[in-house]
Amino acid sequence: MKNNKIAFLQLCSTLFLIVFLLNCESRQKQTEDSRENFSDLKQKQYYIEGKRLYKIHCSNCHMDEGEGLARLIPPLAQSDFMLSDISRTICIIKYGIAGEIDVNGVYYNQPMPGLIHLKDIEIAEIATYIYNSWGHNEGIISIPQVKEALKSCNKPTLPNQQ
Amino acid sequence: MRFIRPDINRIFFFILFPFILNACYQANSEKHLPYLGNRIYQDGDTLYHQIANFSFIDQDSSLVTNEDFDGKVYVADFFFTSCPTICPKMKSQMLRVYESFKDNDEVMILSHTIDTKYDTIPLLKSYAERLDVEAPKWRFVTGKQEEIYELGQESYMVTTAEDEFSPGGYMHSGAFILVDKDRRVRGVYDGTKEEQVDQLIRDIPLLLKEYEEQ
Repeated sequence: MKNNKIAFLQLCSTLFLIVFLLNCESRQKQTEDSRENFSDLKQKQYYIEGKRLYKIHCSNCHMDEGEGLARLIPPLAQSDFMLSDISRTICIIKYGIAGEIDVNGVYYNQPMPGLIHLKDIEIAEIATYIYNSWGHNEGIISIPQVKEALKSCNKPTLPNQQ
Repeated sequence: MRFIRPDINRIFFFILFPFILNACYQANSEKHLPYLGNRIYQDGDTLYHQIANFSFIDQDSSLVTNEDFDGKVYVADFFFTSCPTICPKMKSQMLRVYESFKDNDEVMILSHTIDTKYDTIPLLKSYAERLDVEAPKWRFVTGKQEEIYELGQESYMVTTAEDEFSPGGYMHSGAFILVDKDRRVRGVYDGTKEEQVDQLIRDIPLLLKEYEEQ
């Protein structure tokens, strides 16, 4: 009787421990997956700093997971518009955008103010973050790449511009 | 046998513990929502703070007054469509409120624009359409700017003002204000925080229940 109960308790605790450990492992695996592609230390730095800047400057509208908001604010995650033209995205981050755009077959028409005060390195960091999150894998967006893109931007006329 | 007993008791306690906690939580959630704002005591009666009379126009060009909210509880907020800061987050959270009470005619949402110069009726219409929401459940209203500011400050007790130093040119709170069927403010929640909006979604049925019990 006594032995049975102890054995039962042991079984319970072992099962609990196994479930617990499995849970831990799968979580760890997930975080490793998204980072392991980053062989380059510099890219890692850009990504981490970009994530911080994204939270400050972008996530209010584009949301934490880049999902956007209904048909008002376009998604960044798996956005054909964003993925098809990195230079255009760099320009939009700096100078904003106005007018209708087609993102994944949906029309959006909400003006976005530019982040004109951002330095080139900050734009590179944000771009590196959004181009390597949510299943994207475009590698580092460098400062020279940002400088080059900013040479030929279509600067929009935004309503309510301060 | 004698050595095992205490262990079994302990195990029972651990099994029962979540249920005890749950019971405590349930008891707590049966709370009565407070009445916010100043009270006036008059001839032995308590007069609670109430939302003043208002008259606005919504996204469908319909007139919106307090009478539209007779027999309804509603959630009010202040925003502007070109807002680059907290508004999209507020709207994504308000959408959760909308979805939660989509089929309940006793619950409505009233969003006031504080940028009446830029946010025209067609713009509010397009904003609502792009959010996939409809009047009369969720009304986006505009009107005289001063009237909206005054109502915000005096009735809903939140900050709304033109401010050249704020991003987008307007300073405003991200509050969601819960109003009962008698125009009284029963809760103020931070519309940018998911947990607070969860609380709002839990509080609305409690408020409705008060009226059932009467």
